[in-house]
Amino acid sequence: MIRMSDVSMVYDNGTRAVHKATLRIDEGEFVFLTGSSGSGKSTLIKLLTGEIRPTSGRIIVNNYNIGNIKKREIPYLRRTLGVVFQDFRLIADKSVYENVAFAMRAIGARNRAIRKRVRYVLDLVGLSEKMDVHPQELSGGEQQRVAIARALVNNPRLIIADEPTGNLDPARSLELMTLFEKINELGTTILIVTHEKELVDKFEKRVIVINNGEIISDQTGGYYEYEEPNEF
Amino acid sequence: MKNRMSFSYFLKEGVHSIFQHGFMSFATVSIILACLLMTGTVTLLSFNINNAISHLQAQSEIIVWVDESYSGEQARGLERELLAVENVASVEFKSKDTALEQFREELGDDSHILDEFDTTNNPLRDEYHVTLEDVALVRQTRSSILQLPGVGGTSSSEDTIAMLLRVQRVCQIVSLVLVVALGAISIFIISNTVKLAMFSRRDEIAIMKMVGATNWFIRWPFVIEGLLLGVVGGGLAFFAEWGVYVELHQLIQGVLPSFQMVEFEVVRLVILGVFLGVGIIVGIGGSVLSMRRFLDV
Repeated sequence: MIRMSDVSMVYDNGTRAVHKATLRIDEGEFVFLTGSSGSGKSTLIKLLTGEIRPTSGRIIVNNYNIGNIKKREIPYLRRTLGVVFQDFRLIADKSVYENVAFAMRAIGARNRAIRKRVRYVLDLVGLSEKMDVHPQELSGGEQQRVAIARALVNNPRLIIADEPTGNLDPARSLELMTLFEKINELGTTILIVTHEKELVDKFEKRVIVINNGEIISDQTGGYYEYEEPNEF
Repeated sequence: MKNRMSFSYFLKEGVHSIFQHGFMSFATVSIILACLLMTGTVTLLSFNINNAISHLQAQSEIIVWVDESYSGEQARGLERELLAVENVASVEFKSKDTALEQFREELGDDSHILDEFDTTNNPLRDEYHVTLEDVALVRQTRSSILQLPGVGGTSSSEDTIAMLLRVQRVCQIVSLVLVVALGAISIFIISNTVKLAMFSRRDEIAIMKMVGATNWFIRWPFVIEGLLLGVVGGGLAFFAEWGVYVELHQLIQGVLPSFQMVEFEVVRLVILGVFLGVGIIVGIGGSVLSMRRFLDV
């Protein structure tokens, strides 16, 4: 699924975002990636989705070698992933149904398959009643569930969620994590980037902590141990 | 089956996007229309001026008088030698008797002043009207003709021809500068309009990339949208040009009746083809080129 060995990433301006990171995530796992702002979490996500290439080291994601992946292969890598963002990234002028169906159209799925699958995933995230409304008519939690449905619709082997609860209140955050847990139970590997201690601690899953670009802790059934520096 | 389905999806998306981003679509069509109309009008006017000048030049000729000592038969024999002179396009013989008759007709009521002349004491000379292939070389051609035996003299409007050539050259330069300037301004405005339209949709493109859409899957609706906007802009510009040209035609004919302008019907298909072609190239080219940097994610 994900194999990283000695991966480093230094940006053109000299910023060292990731340093000699090594990790392995297997099929069916549920993993939290935590760390403070600027710790290298977002860079790690960009590396996994093929947005950037590592300066050194080796990354394999769903059998694609990110270090030497060809540009034309990147869409096919991304079809094996589902990505969820903090800001939902839904298309405002498309309905909920179209936002989800669009991800299937992008890979050339047939209309009949699209109709069947989109209804199924919208039902799974509890939004089958709202498939005709537009994103701006939904609450933050509902919008994030649409984004999860979109990430799920192509039946990816791995879902990567970057701060998915960042814009939600605690109750909605908990609801969303429960949804991710349910999806994981159906066989999809989940990698959630977050710095919400309460949520991480509550679910008792594998927790990887990154600080200054280095992986400083990796514990199964772990807790959020890293304390953010107190500014006051 | 899959391709047909994809095409109908791209077409639907392209058309939907035109209405969804109504203001930008309106701006793109308006700019294509305005640029084509301005460039087209200047080009058509320049074409007409050039045409008129070429017509005037074609009418410019050298009159060659045959030596008085030559008989009518000898004078006719000069035709072959004149045609052999470099740059001579055609020659037309006019006998002195024909010239006298024409003179009488031109004088009308005053023709009695020629009553004492007839074929026996005709004071006029046999003459040739010589047209040239390149009027710019009138001086050289004239001196070559003067060297022929039997040529008594020549007459040509060299100054008028030179003036016409200068006017034509100035007209060509001015129209070229205008077309290039208008073309450059048009490309600048159109590419910025399309860039602005693309910028407002960069998030949409980024989302498409993130769900695994290939670059061509993303491009197709934009290509179709650009094509449709180009066709609409080019088509509207054609009809606007038609209206403007007909008005200009009437106006110029009223002020300068001797200035013969080409009828719009003569150039209609060329204008339609060029306007639609440029509209489509600008529409598609603008979309595809300006979205390049948004695809690189």
